[in-house]
Amino acid sequence: MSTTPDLTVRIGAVVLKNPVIAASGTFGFGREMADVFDLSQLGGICSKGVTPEPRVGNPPPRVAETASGMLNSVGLQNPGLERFVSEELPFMKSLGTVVIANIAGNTVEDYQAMCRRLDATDVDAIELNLSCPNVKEGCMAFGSTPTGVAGLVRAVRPMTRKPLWVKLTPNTGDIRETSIAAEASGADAVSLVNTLLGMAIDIRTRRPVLRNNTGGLSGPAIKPVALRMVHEAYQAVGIPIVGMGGILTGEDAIEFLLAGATAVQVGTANLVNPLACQDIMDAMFRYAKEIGLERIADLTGALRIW
Amino acid sequence: MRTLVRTGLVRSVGFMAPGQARMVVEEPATASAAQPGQFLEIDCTPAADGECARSASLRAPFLRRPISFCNVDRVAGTFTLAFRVSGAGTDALSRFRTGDRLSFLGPLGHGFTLPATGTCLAVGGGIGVYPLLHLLRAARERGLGTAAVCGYRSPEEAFLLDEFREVSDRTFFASDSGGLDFTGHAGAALEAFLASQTPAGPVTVLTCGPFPMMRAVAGLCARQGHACQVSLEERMGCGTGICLVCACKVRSLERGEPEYRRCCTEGPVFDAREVVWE
Repeated sequence: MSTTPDLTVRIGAVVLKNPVIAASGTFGFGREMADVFDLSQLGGICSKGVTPEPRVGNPPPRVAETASGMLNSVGLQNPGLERFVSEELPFMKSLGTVVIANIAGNTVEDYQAMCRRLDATDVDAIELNLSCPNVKEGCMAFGSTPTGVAGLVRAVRPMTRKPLWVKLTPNTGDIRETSIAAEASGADAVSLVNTLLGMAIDIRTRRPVLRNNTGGLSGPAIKPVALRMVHEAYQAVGIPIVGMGGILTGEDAIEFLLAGATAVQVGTANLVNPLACQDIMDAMFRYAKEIGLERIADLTGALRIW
Repeated sequence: MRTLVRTGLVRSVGFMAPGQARMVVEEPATASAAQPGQFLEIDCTPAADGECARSASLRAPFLRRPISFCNVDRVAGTFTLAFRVSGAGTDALSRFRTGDRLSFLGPLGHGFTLPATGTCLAVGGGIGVYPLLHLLRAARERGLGTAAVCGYRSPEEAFLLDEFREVSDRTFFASDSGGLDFTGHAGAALEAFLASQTPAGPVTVLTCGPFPMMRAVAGLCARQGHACQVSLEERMGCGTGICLVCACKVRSLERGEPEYRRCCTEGPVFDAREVVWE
């Protein structure tokens, strides 16, 4: 008997139509893609990283191509929280999909204030960005150690009833420890992983290609590392994992689910294929149908380890 | 919904000068939509039939490459891309064969704005001359006056001279090493050209080329009171405005404060008065 696979997944209280979320920083606030495909099909959209005040970002060049990927050093260019709440969030909420606000700050107080403000909005979840490698203060400094993660999440948790997803960095000693710290401090989910800190050099000028000297590596180049980290974290925590890192195809996304992710975020793929999320959703559906899967959620952690 | 991802049929690929490649692609909807100064984000590996190669492929190079329209033939439904082979992407692109399928996004970006009357004076340096050919053809179709000032490194590396003559009322070709109409870069050539010519009606200068050359052109236009539009270049990621890597520093004419804008979306063409020339 052939059935239509159920693609619904749950990240705590948040129900997604399917496991595919457009990742922060690779989809703007949805405006540029709203007339390219039907965004209501998406499992969710995660906003560009928002900070308390507007940020102009880092000087260019901000991008360097790498083997199977890219480095970026955008530096959280964004209109600031107030304009996000008044102009971008209402637009995002009109798209008919789950909206996650990705937020970043320099201090614990920044994150607390932003969570308080977002608590009074209709955003569906907040993703605490503890992992941006391109800003001087805060952010990755919190996410790279278990004590940093625990201190921040514990301080922020009482500020909001919204689901808190904690986006962690691969630039850390042990992803299990930072994930455990997030869970123990009240996080509803962990998003794994942000970019790997990297560098590119121009041998003619003897300068780094990026004006910021270093940047975040993303794309298929980091997929094996991200998969391994999702797999490790899945064995260490009970909260859902949102997996990401170099997902280009439906097969890539399925690999993340098998490794332990409940949902995935698609990032760099959007830059080279604006229809990447749609293609990935279609391919996941076909896969589920092909193997006679009733619920895509059954794939989470279904890896048969040797 | 807007069709952003398209596939065209490669009609021909060749070199017009050492390291300077030219590709003619057939895709009628793109040829009709292309505006001067706009560009396409090109996948540098041939596309499989009917799908975006990128979704199924890990082949290098990873990012698409922004390349502007050099020429457009709406009747034939084709457009010409011209580019210098300068890295892995353009090298791969130059190896396409007739009959290959090319995946691209676009047309993208805010291009040149043609004036209502007067003369379009295009000033290009090196590979910056490419989008100006399309521009001058469009200007002539509108009944505007057209003039081209093009600067090259040497006469041997000068390309598209006949094509520029065909679409321009006047041409003035410069070379750093002599042998053409003027010896020196395109900015200096523009000054000499304007000193010897009185183009019909108000002059709008539209420029594309190396940053120092465009700075000289913009400075001259400011002194002489000509409107000036510049096509900026910055390393791009997506070309569609979502990744924010192609930041160009411009000063809003209303607000006055320098700010970063997306070269791919608000640009690549800006009013010269907005550009922060640093």
